[in-house]
Amino acid sequence: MKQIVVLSSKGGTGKTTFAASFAALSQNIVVADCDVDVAGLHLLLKPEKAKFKQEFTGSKLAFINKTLCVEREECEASRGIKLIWEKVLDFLKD
Amino acid sequence: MMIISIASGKGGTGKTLVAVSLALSIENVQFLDCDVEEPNSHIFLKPKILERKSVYVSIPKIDENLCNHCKKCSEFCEYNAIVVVPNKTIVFPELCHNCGGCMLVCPQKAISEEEKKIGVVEKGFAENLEFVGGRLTVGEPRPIPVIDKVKNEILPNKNVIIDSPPGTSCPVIASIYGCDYCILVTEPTPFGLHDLKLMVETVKKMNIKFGVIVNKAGLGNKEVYKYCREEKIPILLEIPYSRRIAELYSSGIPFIKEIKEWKNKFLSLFKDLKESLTS
Ligand code: SF4
Ligand code: SF4
Repeated sequence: MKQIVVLSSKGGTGKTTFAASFAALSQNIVVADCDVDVAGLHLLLKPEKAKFKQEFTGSKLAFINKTLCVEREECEASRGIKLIWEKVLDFLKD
Repeated sequence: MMIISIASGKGGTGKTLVAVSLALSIENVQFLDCDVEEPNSHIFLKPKILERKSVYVSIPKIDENLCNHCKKCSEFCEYNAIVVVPNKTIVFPELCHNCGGCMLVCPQKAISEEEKKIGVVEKGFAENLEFVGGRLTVGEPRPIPVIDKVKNEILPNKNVIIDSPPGTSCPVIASIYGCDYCILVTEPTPFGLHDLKLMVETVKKMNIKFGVIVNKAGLGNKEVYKYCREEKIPILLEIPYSRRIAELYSSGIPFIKEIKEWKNKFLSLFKDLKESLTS
């Protein structure tokens, strides 16, 4: 099995176009769209219904139990955990 | 004074071009390049860099004389950045997210921190604007600390223009967080539309006001316009798909410098935004 990776650091240079063209010309091929953030290959290759679909879980999400939290200095001071938390909470609340 | 960020889900839609054009069209500007993985606004702006600050993150350091290999640290670490083997405790700096937790849980107080350089923040001037740009060292996996350091330089008395990285994930969130307005740059193609939708979802969740600039207008189809109309998203400006603009772009010249009417367009866009935000 040979693996070919199509890369470019600048956006919009034609990675997806190139990958799709290669895919269209090859037989017996597995195509992986690893641009999981803003995927686009499916727009060109139009894959039929997914054979399987699986939820992906990454690392655990921390939460603060407000009734137990004593807001210790280290927590707030060490790299602004509180600040990050405000960011996250902000982001999650609709 | 306001903070305007320029973002787009898709890469290569013209974020940097728009950010630079806007910055060069208005007064009293501080320009922030937050695309620290692939910064290239300097190609247009050619800033004179007067100051360079290294960006460090703290990485745990194990004192093997104190460590009794109890594994508390590796059990705690969510990122598998510490591994304890019978006679050694090993840190993987690339995996560490600098949470400091292992240090807190170590019963032997065997963990301290050491600094690791992951990038640099550059400050200087380009024409009439103040320039701040971040650069992540090649091979370093986490851009956020560099982006945060760039944003720490924000001056309150300036109109701040932020060139954000592409995508919709953490580096983008860190770049546009706290801005007054977000300009989403897209192109009228199925790819542009697809990624615009993702970006719209993101800014909506973050409660940031936003509008769209269509670059390479005339190319592709009308779906982006249809979507914006249906979602009541304002289209602030259209930049045509023109040979002249593309030629200037490929020579590293912002087109507003050569085609003067565009400077006025960006200026009035800025004024409109300012009015809509203060009213
Ligand atoms: S928690 Fe401390 S003592 Fe235990 S293995 Fe980790 S570094 Fe060593
Ligand atoms: S600082 Fe946090 S992420 Fe890094 S090794 Fe320690 S527990 Fe893991």
